[in-house]
Amino acid sequence: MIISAKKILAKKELCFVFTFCASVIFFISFIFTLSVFVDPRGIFGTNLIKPVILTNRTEKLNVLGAKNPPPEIIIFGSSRVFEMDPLLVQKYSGWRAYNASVSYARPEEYLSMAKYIVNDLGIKPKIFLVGFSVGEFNNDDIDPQTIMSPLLRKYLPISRKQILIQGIKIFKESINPRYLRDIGLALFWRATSYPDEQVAFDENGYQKFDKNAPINRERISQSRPAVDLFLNLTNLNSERKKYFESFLKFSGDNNIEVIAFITPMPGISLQALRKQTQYETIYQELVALMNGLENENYFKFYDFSGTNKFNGDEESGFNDSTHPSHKNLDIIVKKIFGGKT
Amino acid sequence: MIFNSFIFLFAFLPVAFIVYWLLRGKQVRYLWLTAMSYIFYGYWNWRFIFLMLLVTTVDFALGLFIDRAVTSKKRKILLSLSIITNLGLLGFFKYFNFGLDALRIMSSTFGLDLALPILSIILPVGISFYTFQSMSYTIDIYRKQLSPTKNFLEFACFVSLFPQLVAGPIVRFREIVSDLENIDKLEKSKAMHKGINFFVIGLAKKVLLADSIALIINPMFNNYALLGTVGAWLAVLGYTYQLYFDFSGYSDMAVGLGYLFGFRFPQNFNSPYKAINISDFWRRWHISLSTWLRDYLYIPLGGSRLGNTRTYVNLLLTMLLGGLWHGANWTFVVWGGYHGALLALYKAFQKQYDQLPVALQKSLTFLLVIIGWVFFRSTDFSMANSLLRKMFNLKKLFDLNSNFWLATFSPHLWLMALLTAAFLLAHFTKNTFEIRWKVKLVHAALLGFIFVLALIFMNYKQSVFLYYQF
Repeated sequence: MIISAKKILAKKELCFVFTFCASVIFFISFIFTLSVFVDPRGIFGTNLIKPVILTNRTEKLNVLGAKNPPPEIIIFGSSRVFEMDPLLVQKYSGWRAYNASVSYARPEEYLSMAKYIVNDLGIKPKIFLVGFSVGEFNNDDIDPQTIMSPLLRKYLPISRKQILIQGIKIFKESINPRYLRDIGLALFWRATSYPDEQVAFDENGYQKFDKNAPINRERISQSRPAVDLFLNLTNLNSERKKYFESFLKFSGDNNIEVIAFITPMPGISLQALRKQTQYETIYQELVALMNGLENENYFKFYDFSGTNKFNGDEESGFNDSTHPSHKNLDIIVKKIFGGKT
Repeated sequence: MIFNSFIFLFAFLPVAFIVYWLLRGKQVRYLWLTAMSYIFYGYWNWRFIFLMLLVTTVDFALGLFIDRAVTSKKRKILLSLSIITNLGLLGFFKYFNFGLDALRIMSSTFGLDLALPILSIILPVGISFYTFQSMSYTIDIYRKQLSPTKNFLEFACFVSLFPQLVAGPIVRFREIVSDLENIDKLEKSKAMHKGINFFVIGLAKKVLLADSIALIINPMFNNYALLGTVGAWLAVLGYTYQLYFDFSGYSDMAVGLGYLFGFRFPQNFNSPYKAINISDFWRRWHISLSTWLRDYLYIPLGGSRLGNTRTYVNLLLTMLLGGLWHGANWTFVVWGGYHGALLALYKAFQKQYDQLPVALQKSLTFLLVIIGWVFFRSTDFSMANSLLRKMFNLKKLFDLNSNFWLATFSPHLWLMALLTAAFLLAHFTKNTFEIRWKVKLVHAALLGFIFVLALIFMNYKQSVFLYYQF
């Protein structure tokens, strides 16, 4: 390489180019090092500084592994089921429950978490209860926390090559302004104090929150986050459909019943989605898929996509444009398990 | 492929550069650069490389025939063939539907309802640039200002040269013929530092300034009906600087890449917002296009030699066509006509205007240019009209109780900071051609830092250059 460089560059130019390249390498390495050590999104698992986003995959699985006796119902899903109460599930079903929902969960998370729970933790629950929104079968990349987690990575239904490509992509993405902002934020909070609005969980995986907090109607009326779930989406992601089917098969093979339901969104969000996105087509496709799977598997499906489908609480049953609050989730638990007691 | 992409920066460019300098001999270097340029162009859509090859072959052959032709009539016919081929291709790909639309409007005014088809035509990137470049070659031979090259590879290399292929500067053959002829005599890159300086600064202009401004102002333009007076001014001012830093950034990168490969491309921007009158502005903005229009359109039309009225008409015509060159939309035509009218007015009142204080001349020129950009940015006349009304609704501007001031889009602090930086850079600092680039290691280290900063921003959101669409 040096011989080639001397052949193509005049001497003074060579020093200039060398300094330029050294400077580029230095600054890129500096940012990479900072990304790994500060780890503001909990991707690299460094754990030196508290991440600025939720890193609940490993934590929830570790708590679950230590449960004795183990739960008989495990709740999967994204932040949309954070407020599903395991005690209420236990009250109506008669079985111990644990809320293993994690942020940005998609079907690949249900699959890899289910496999880890059964194969590695040796827990064989009676039911996997899964809540997902229609938009969760979208084309988003697999969550970096799942790819970088040694617990879950091995159970991801993708090849090693794909994991490697995704890993490189995650490293590359760590050089962008938003990531740098998160590094700054993590360091700032570490130096000062962490903000009050931090999400924390009880021992049974249930989110800690103030049940008497006033309803934030402004957040509910902003339909942008709901619309973002469906951006450039015309139909369900075929890979995610396969992951969900694999999850059902794995559960069936282990005699674990799966109960799945579509989480509700406020009417105002559904209205915006029908107007601005292909929501209706995607929703119909999802319902048809679930109905088809219901016939073939040890699986029960409920469509609670709107409050009208389960006599939900439209007025005060939501935290924002896509997240049902404990009020609607409590009604859903009663709907699913009410008849069992 | 775009310059501000990782594939270009970390794969294409290093390979193109290293192999180029390791190769010895004219033919192999022409061949290598041409091949790489075709890969660069074909990366976007490989089908259109045949179009470029067609233009290259036709103009290369016609250049030779024009030179050999003895009679003036034959020379004219051959030149016409070249012009028809180039403008024919440009016309078809860029203006076919626009022409049909104009025909439809005209016929409907006469009560005729023509059922004309609308074709789905993809505009080949850079066609406006390379057809003008190739056409200037045959015109220069016709005018006996240039001897044709007998080396097809040399000509193919000239037409396709990737650093300036898709968005200029429009380089004429005679401007780089000496660099092309001496391509084998360069054994080592001696202007690498200049190349890196130009390229990195161009990249920073594009990524750090133009794209950052665009991120804020694009939603404002998308919702222009909601803008207040201040919001409209901020959006239009933002676009004024976005366009300048985007296009001059691209030109700087092109010049920088030229240096890396031993070519000296002409300056395309000379601090245009420092212009003291509209004529001065056009000597500073997109210089390669304005000189092209001057030499191949305005002067052949008679220039300023045929009296005042004819001069004004020539200016107007040249600028109307210059406007149309930017895109098949009436807003571009009006923008061109507006500048033609300003140039004519300046010619008519030059004596009086030049007596104004320089600061006032500069401010007035800048204001007139900004107004022009409203048409340039607007998708239709109703948008342009609405924006101009909002900008000049002075009654509401001073009405502190009216929320028309700031409706929906309050002045964005970040946008204000970007505009301040852009203002200082565009109006008060030296441009890249005025700076004397030295081979200093501190500069190299600083450039490294700026380059990484640009990479960080590129990683967030990549966007194509505005002039790619023309």
